[in-house]
Amino acid sequence: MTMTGVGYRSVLSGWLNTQPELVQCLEITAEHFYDPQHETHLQTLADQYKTCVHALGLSLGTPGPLDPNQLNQYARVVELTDPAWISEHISYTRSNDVDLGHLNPVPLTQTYLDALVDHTREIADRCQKPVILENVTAHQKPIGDIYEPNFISELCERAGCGLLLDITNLYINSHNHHYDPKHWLAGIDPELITQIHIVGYIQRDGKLYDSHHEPIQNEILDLLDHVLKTSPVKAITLERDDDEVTPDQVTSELTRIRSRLDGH
Amino acid sequence: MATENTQPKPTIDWLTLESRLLADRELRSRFILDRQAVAKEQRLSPADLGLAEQIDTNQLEQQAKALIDKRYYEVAELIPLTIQGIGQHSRDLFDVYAQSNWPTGHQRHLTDALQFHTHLRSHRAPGLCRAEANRLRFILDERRCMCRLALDIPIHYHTYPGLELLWRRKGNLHRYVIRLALGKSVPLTPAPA
Repeated sequence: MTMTGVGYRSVLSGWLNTQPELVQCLEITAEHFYDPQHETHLQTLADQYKTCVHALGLSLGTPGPLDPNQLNQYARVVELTDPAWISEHISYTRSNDVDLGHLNPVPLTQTYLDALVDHTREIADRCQKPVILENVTAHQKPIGDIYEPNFISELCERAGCGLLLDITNLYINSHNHHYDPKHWLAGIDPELITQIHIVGYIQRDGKLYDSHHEPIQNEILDLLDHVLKTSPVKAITLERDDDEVTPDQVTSELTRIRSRLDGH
Repeated sequence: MATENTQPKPTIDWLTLESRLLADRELRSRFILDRQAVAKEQRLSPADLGLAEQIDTNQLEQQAKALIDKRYYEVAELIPLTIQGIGQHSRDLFDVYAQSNWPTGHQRHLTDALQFHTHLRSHRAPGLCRAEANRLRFILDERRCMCRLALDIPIHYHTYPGLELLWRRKGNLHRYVIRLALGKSVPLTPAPA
């Protein structure tokens, strides 16, 4: 059965302590728990929920060695939570010169494919957990000579990892960069899709943005339906990031997701 | 025989150049005007020259702006009273600061907020909330406790002059405020979240 869940946010902690029925899987953002003072709380969450651990800052797309300090901290969070799987992004956040702090698309070339493969294997070996990688959204359409679904497919095959399909990111990119998301999905083996991220977008001046603050639009739920027809997804995670989100709002969104799941 | 002065300088890959372009507005402006010149100046590897030609510079500009926007959003969440205090130019002021400051590490947003606060203070910007900076220093310095005097400690929907005691217990941050009769309280409008 496909689990539904949320990414852990402190504003929801009281509600999550009640272990609501619709939260069957809790995604832990690793960087939020790097400080040792959070270890007890982290272990409590891991005792209450089936977890997956998601990182933001390992910058797997940057050629060269991973930041050892970040890797050690990430591995520590994984060790404390014993998640079902771990995840990062098909992107880079830093170079040797500067830490940009947020996700940027990697060029779709052999060089960066090789870097992603090597780094994905490295974190899998280090953490001894299955790894899945997430597609990102960006104002820049990725450059390079490899078609993105082919890039992802080869990455997953060579690295032995799965795909964390951010269905909202896919929808946003397809709108902003003018392509058909279903055609893009046709280039991905559905068996690779382990987890889905989903949330609403905002629209401004004809472009879509991933604010992580909005209810899911119906067209994104329709795209979710399309994926669920063929993909044995294990978990769908609602990614509401705003500090004012309420348990009622999250429950409503998870209910909408569950009703789509029940249709398959 | 090659000497140190005649050794060819190492080249950089496209990702390194792109990260410089995203972080440096002046470099980006020159790249938009003449990609090949900037690629040569930055010693971009010949293998990656094609990527320099492919990149859509409008989209590159939007991506660069988005990176600053995301930082500003995070900082505004951490020092809301300071952002409110400096008024409608807060985003422009942040832009000036952010171009040459790129904090690292998993606490980068906290560092960003504190460094921005320090930047504003060094430029004598009015409307800063010292209590917010004190709190950030306490978290970043990993202190067990701290006691600071501030004239603008937020309590409910006002700020007050007082002595603020911050301490950690079981991973949680606690605070206790002793209000001092040094001046009037200032109402916060709108009331903070």
